[in-house]
Amino acid sequence: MDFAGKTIWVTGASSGIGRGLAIALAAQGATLILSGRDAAALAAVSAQCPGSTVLAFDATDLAALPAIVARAEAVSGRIDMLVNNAGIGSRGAAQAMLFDVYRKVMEVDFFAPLRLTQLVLPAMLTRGSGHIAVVSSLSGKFGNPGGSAYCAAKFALIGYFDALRSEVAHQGLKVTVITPGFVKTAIGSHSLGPDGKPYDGPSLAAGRGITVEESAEQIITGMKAGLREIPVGKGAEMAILDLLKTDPNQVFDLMAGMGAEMMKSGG
Amino acid sequence: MEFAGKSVWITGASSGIGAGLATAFARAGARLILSGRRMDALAEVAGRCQSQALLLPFETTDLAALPGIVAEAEAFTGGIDILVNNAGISQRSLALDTDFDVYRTIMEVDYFAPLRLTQLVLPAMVKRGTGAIVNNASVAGKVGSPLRTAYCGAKHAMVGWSDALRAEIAQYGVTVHVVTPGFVATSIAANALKGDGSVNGPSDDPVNAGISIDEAAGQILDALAADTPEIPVGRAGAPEMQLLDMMRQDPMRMFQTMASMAPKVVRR
Repeated sequence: MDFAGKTIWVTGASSGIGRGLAIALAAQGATLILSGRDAAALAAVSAQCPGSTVLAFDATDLAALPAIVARAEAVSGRIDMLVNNAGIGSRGAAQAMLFDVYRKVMEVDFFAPLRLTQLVLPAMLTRGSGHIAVVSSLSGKFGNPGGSAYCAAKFALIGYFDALRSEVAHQGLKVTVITPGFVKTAIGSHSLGPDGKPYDGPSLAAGRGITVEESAEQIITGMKAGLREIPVGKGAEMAILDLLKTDPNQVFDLMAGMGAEMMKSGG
Repeated sequence: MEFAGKSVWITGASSGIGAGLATAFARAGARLILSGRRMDALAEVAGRCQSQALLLPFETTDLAALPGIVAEAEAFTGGIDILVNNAGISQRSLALDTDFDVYRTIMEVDYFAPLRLTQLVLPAMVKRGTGAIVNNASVAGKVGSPLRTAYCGAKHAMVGWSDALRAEIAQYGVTVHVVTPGFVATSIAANALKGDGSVNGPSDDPVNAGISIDEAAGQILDALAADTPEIPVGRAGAPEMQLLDMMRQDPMRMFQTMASMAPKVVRR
């Protein structure tokens, strides 16, 4: 896969994996459309992406999306690749988690990228080419304690995008699901706690993981290899993907052990 | 897990796998609470159950009414031992043809409604230190497949939430089970939503050739008796059941298999 000259739209591009991926794709000659809520942060990323365009919007304002998509498509006349990267984390025991937090997380992590994809899809199908990528998570592959709301939304993304791929692959479209493990981003400090306020408890992810630059490199390498699912990370957490293949019951046991530890350490 | 004398609450009990589970649990000596939307259909199912049964019809998506419903169920039994979140709705439409509101409706029925009910039932189970949550997902909760983008999204969500919940509450003696039926001869395809939100209606859907609801219920009870966390339900060796193994062991081959099905369902 050659990214040179391609128009690539990245959501959640103001920080973390989105920012790293945007800069890396720009270095490969892609024309970036950078989206997120924070226009100032996007402008700073844009400065590192030659020829890029900043298109700030609130991903959950779904009514505004048709006009946003029209503006994105007007940048170069087409979207070659959409990277649905924007998302929000959530941590906390299910027993303490307010129902509205489940709704909020599903809205940001599932419905928003789904709606954007729905709006970008028709032009790609008409052209018979296009690539839709989505940043899910290892939490979209196996349930883990403290992650009930987040796992649900990230699993949902995989269900939708795997099903979508099965419908559109034969029409020339690519669908890539990205499942990062620990990457050094601000996702931990931007997560919702059980009461819907920013999570301030202990974090497994704190200080762990690969850099966003490394994550971007793994994603680009995976895309060039034509992978439909790209695991991203280097730590022990990635081995759980292998364990899922050989012995899913052992993953359940491992996670239940973590659940007991979590409650001992105060949730 | 034993069923004799246990209080088992089944949603979507008026037909299909829910109705099959009702008669199977009754035979095993359980006391039943049967929920669904249609009182007459629930009464008919209860008539086939040789067991004391409370009929508790409600609209699963009327979330505001749920605390009152749960109080009624708990008052009848003195405590719910097994909650079977079985009510659900499927889909038969290409993503390209599916209104956004259909995604919302299916997520509401298949994920948010069972999630909310579980939230309300769980505290008493944890307090007692015993109980089981049985979530009826689908093969579509493990494998993305054509004509089911909304259904796969919602059922995957149910699996992700269930697996996380299991990891948290096993330590309190409360178990979580995910059921993944393949083709079972029910009206799920006829009741499925099309892209415009209308009902699919009768068709020559592969589910029609699936196993019977009694066979499905038998498989589920056997697996619950053995405390199995994830319960595949279907004809042994059937193609849709093989997908579960393929998805786990070789997802790339799985994606290829699914994509090769697409030309058969494409809009012309």
